[in-house]
Amino acid sequence: MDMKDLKIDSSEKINTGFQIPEGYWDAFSEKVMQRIPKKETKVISFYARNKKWIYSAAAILVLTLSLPIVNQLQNKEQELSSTEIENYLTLNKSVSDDDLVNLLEQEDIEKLKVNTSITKDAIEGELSNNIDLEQYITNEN
Amino acid sequence: MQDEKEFINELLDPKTQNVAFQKLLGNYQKPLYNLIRTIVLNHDDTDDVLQNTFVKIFQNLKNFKGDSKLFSWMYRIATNEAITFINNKSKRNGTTSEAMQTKIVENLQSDVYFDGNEIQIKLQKAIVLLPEKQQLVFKMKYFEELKYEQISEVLGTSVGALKASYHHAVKKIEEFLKTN
Repeated sequence: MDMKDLKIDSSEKINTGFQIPEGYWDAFSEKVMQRIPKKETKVISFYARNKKWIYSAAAILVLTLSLPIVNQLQNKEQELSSTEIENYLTLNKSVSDDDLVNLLEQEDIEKLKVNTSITKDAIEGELSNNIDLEQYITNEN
Repeated sequence: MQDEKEFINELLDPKTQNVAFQKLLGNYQKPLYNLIRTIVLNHDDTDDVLQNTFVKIFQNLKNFKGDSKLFSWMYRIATNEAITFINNKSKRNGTTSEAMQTKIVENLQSDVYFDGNEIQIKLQKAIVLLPEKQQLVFKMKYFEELKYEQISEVLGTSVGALKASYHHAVKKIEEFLKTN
């Protein structure tokens, strides 16, 4: 083809001669997809999808855990004064001493124990001052 | 090809968006590459501009009014991206875009991704001397073989004005080939 007489629209078409590296298109769309803003793809997270259930579970958990506290608050209001208890115990014949002891802890019982160790001198002194002593001894059988 | 409106809806719906956009890439990546390559001339720059073009297309899908065709809207974005790229690159290098383009064309022979003979290099040298608008019209009409109506939608110029531009461009190129 003689360049000097070349007619652009009637002569054979001249292509650009531009080449593309081999395999270029294999990776191209992936490259673009990675640059696309993620929020636009609307990936719904586990949290967002189950928001309702997570909040419900959290609410139930809080309620459950707070039950003992609520109970305690109510118990405080119902707490009886010690005078009331004493009055109840004295008036109510059906409660025996044994019942009371059963309700006490070992520790409480220890505390209640009275030290009854009395020296021999104290006993002798007490006996010698007692005018009825002879009678007690002779009446013994 | 399915109804364009339907396809645009698929592109906008988050559920179908990814698949639809992959399809858009498949249909348009090669023609848009070729258009951009005729403007920025080397492969690596074309790769950059093409990626930016698709990212921009994706970001602006929701603003696509549908009063122009998807095809011409995308070609317009690609053309603008390519021209902006050349202007920015020449500014960074402290030169004009014309001077930079001339330099690239003169070095085409050493470009590993250029497989052309003397006539192809000469044609590029002749194109570089044209005003920007005539260059664009010539590249779209001659290399990309777009119709005047399509070019008119992309560049927003009347068909009559485009025909005149192309005619001038062809005359100048033939003159260049005759005298050089």
